[in-house]
Amino acid sequence: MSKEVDTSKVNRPALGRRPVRAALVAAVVVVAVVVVVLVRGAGTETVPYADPASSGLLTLCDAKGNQVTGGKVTDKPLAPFVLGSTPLDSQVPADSVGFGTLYGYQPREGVEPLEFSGAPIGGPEAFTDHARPATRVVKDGYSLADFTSIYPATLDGYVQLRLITSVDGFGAFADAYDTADIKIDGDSWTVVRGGNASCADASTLLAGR
Amino acid sequence: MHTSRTTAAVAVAGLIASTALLSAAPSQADVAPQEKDVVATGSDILQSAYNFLADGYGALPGYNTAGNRWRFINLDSSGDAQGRTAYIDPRLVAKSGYLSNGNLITQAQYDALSSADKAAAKPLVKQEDVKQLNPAVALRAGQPLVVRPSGGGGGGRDAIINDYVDGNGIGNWIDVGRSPDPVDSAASGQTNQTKAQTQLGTKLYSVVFGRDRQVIATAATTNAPTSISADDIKKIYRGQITTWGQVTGYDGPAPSETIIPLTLPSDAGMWNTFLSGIQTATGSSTTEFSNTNARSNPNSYNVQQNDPTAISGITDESIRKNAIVPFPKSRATVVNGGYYTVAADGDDQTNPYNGAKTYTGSSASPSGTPATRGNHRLAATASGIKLLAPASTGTLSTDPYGTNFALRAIFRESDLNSNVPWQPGSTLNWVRTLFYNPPTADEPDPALPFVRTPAGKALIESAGQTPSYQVFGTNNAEITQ
Repeated sequence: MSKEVDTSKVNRPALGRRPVRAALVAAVVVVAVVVVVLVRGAGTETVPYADPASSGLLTLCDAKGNQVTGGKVTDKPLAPFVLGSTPLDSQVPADSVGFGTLYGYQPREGVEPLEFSGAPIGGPEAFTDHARPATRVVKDGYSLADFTSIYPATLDGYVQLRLITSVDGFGAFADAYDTADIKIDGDSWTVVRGGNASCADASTLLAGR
Repeated sequence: MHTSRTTAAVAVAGLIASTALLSAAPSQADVAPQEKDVVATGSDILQSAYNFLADGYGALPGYNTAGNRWRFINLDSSGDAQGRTAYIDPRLVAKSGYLSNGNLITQAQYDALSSADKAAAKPLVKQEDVKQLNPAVALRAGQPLVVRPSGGGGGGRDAIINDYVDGNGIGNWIDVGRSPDPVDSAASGQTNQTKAQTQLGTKLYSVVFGRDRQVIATAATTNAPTSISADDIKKIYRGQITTWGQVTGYDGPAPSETIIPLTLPSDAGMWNTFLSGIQTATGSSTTEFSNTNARSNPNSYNVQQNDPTAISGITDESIRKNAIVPFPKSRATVVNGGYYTVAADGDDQTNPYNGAKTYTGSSASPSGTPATRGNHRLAATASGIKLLAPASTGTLSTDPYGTNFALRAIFRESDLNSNVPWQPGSTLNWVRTLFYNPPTADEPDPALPFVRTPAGKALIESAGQTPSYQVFGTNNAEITQ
């Protein structure tokens, strides 16, 4: 940074604008990086558990087609749409209706993800495309504050989200699911590990309402 | 009377056939609850909604789908997941006679028959000699079996009240009583609460989390009118009305035909709901419309509860078109949703799970590859029956008969107040997790219990019931939510 604002260069009239512009651009970039790091906070953290049943990542979306990466723990819903990334089992007939239910799970120190305790947060909701499982989270469902009042986020503030899909006749595919890992800090939460699917058509992926 | 005698014979023969499977099926082989699993027993008509809440239905996940350490275990009332009452094997009951060439004959007359006529004769037993099986169940894994707590309206309530720890250490195994009936009726005051306090050392709470309605079912093609008042239903079952023309306002096609009022087993929840529903609607006392005199119509006979084939399976059209039976609306919804399976009678029951026998679904032929035979089951349907005035909400004697009943959970106050969390890592006990999570000083705006979440409500609706929510305390009064 100090080299790029070298005063010996900025004093040259013919070239004076270019270094200043470069310095400003660089400064903006640096500030932007700092802001992103601050806003996403834990985004550089390593999630302190690895779930072998996680088959992909979840993307949280708002009603306007934007990705949701954080919010308040009291938000209801925490995100109105949640998109998975793993297609339904290929054995499921094409005309069967898939359902998605969003669960919250409580990571605990020294406990395998298979043994985490959990509760439904969103859904169940039918989705239209077997390749793109999804669900809806409604206001009547749990906020993160509700969930953590039952299962406190005791492992560094982490809550794991799982989208469990199900089909009539097959039941729930609870052995493999897409996940997102979020971290709660005070009254806020941020996505630490999640997907980046397009939210543009999130609402169209759901069959009802 | 000829009609009623024939009907009775048909009923007995049908009973013989339909009970063989039930009596042969071991009922103690259910999943056995572990130490901290929550165990619900009681009502047969509520068991489907409870089963759905516990384990899900179709694509809808239940509480246990989350895979938590401790489960919500719902033990069926009779041991049959379709809620049918189980009986002893009638082949083991002493014969009361035979049906030979359409005539009832005695043992002596049977002995005098030719070999061919003996082979063709049908052995008969009296209905009253065919007793309930009283199937056993393990309420806790590895512990001695007990007779399965049954339904019967207040069965779930009575089971939990009597779940005291006895001298052999048996008891305190039931956590939830499934019961349409409240802990105490207005008439009984605090009787059951007092008994619970004495026997269990705690009183009882109850939570209503859904509503259902019992109405009258007929065959899809019937001589019955579109509705029958509660007052007329009472008269029909007491034998004071025997033909359609005697029903108030009847303008149907068969005023002179005999009504066949089908009755239910005396321990059936739907029968007791029926008795109390008629008593309430008509202002009758428990003796005026009792279990006995509600069976006093000479043309009535007993059938399985909650079973649409009780009517649709009657082969004689002249009987089928004139039959009526109390039936829960929710059951028709669940049956038409494809949850129940056709369970063929007795030895004819076949499916791929039973060895070499092959269940071919609607196909009469077992030939073909498994892929073409396909079905492990044939979904039952209620299309053969019709509900009278299903949308009515009336409760008066002149209203179309129907009585509302509750999807209720009864549990100990001590469990509500327990400080022991249920699941590992949780802050809540099982009552607060599943049924009732009232505010506390530390948590003035608590999370909803499972039955009130969108996932829970979806399951209640899928069971054909309407989600609603009321809590009743140990004084039996409603607690404002």
